[in-house]
Amino acid sequence: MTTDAIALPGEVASDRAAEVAVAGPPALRRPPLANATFMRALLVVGLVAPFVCARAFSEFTDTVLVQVMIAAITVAGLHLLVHWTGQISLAQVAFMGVGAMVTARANADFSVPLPAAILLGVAGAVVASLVIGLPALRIRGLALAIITLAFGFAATRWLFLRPWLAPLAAGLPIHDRHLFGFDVTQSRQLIIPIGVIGVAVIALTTRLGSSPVGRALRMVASDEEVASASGIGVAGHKLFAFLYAGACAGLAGAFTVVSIGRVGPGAFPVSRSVLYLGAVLFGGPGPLVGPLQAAAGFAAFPVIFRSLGRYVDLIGPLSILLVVTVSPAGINGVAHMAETAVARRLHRHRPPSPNGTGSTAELEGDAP
Amino acid sequence: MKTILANGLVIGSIYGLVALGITLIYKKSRVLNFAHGETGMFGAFVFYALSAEGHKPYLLAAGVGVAVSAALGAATFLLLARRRTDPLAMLVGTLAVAGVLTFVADEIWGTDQHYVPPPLAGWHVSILGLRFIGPRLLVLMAALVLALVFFIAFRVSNVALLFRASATDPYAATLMGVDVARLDFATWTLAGALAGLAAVLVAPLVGFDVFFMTLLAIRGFAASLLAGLTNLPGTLAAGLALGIAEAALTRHTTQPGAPEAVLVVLIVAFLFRPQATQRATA
Repeated sequence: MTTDAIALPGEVASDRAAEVAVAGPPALRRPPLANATFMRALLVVGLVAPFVCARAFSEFTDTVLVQVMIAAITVAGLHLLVHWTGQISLAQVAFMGVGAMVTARANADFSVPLPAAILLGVAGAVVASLVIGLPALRIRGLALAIITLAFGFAATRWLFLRPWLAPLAAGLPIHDRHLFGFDVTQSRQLIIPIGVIGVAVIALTTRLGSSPVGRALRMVASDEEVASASGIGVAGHKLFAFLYAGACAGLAGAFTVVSIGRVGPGAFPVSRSVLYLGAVLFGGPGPLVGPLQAAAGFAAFPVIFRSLGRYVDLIGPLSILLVVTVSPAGINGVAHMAETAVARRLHRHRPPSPNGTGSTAELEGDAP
Repeated sequence: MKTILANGLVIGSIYGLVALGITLIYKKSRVLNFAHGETGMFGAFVFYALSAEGHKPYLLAAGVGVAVSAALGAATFLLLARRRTDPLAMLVGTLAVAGVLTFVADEIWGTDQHYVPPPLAGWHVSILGLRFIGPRLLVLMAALVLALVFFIAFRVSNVALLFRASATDPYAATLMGVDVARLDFATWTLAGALAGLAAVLVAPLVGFDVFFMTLLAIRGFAASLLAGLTNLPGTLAAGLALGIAEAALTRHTTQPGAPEAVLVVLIVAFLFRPQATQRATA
């Protein structure tokens, strides 16, 4: 993905220049993550990992991991929307709330089995994001930020107080105690279904990123006119990205209510949307791995460092400021710089190829 | 009906006053400043600390509050100035500034409601049968006067031309001798002062906490958007229309959060017809 020709929003010129410099030597053109076998092996390890975590770790560690997976699912969708499609949303936590409340209502009041209730929660979030996302067909960026922010506030102050959605102010307690046979009241069991589904969502998002759809999304983000002239349905792709992000948020919301048991309207403040947006930006444009690392850190940090108290609220804003003012490329950018530096060092020690293009240093014109 | 109109005009002028600063920054920098409300909130709390706790004269406390907000507006620009060619990065940066300001204000003053004595409290006036008490009239007058001042300034001076040139193509404007960075700095400072003024005028009318300006800023954004984001007098008109609609609605329903729901419906409905915005922005 790092070798894609289309510039990502927020990508800095120096990074692109470094990328071009590294793209020369044939041996360095395919990073390990682009290797299909490696990706399949990674997926298998990811799917097995929740079972290992359930057996190897304590209840507390698995509780942290459940929160990490919930954050990772939300961030996966948001990354596709922000970095791959060039849209911005401050309503993701509101969509999480819709997913959580629909799941709780379906399970508690209508006795819908938990897996089906979770699907209904996802469907609810998709409907909500469809309503908010339709204007995305006509606008982009700044105005969309206002719409999604307004929806975020309206959700916490109005929608989540409606009796037809949340009959109890403290939130409806879910009825079922098992999800696919795993006890949802114990994190050591809950980590298995949430972990497996979370890994599947991450794998699907990664796959989408490298698929024609992902390339079309990036084309739309780069230049809508050019994308349209190339035969790409701009409106459809933007709406798809918004709905995909909404579905991910809805799934994360459904898992939130399953993991906690009940949630009130106060569990989904707009400030959390800023935190998730901060994680996505801190991760940086490019592969999903950077935002996932940031999401994991953001989700685990407040639980592990509880002694910091309210200061953990500063993580989101400060990380955004750090990214905006210091390093727009985020974790992905730092990783890419490190990869570039290692590649240059390794390549410098290689013997020059017969056609004389075997050295990065030669490509850059600074060969001795 | 007269009560609805009087209340609506005051509420609307508050929205308009908040929206003026938002529109001013967008007009110059093509950036939505999500820290606008929090910038004003901080000034209002400084005003509260000097006025209610320090027992300083009203005008001195208000002046310092507005100055602090202006300084915060300028500091926000300086902090994010490196990314001023990327409006989306600036927008996200202002969100972060808003988060930091809210956190700091929360640490200093807490989340409790605060009160300051209103100015001109015993004074009232009737205009066209509509009765306004002193502090409410002050808000209405400030909004009208400022909208008029901006309207005249943009008509009789070359400020409008400078704004349009530097917003459309900052590089070309720089080549033509426009000091884009200094103009940006001045605009953000002025917008900060406007946020502070709005907050200082509104604070005595309500019991205020660290989030009071955030909710007003959302309405301010809506008013600004409805007016096409670059039309300063239109922003006040949109703010007044929103205020009157909200006053009429809250009189007929007691449901909490109903104004927010109406706000979203209004914006979404409006966005299905964005032509009006495009005309206003052109």
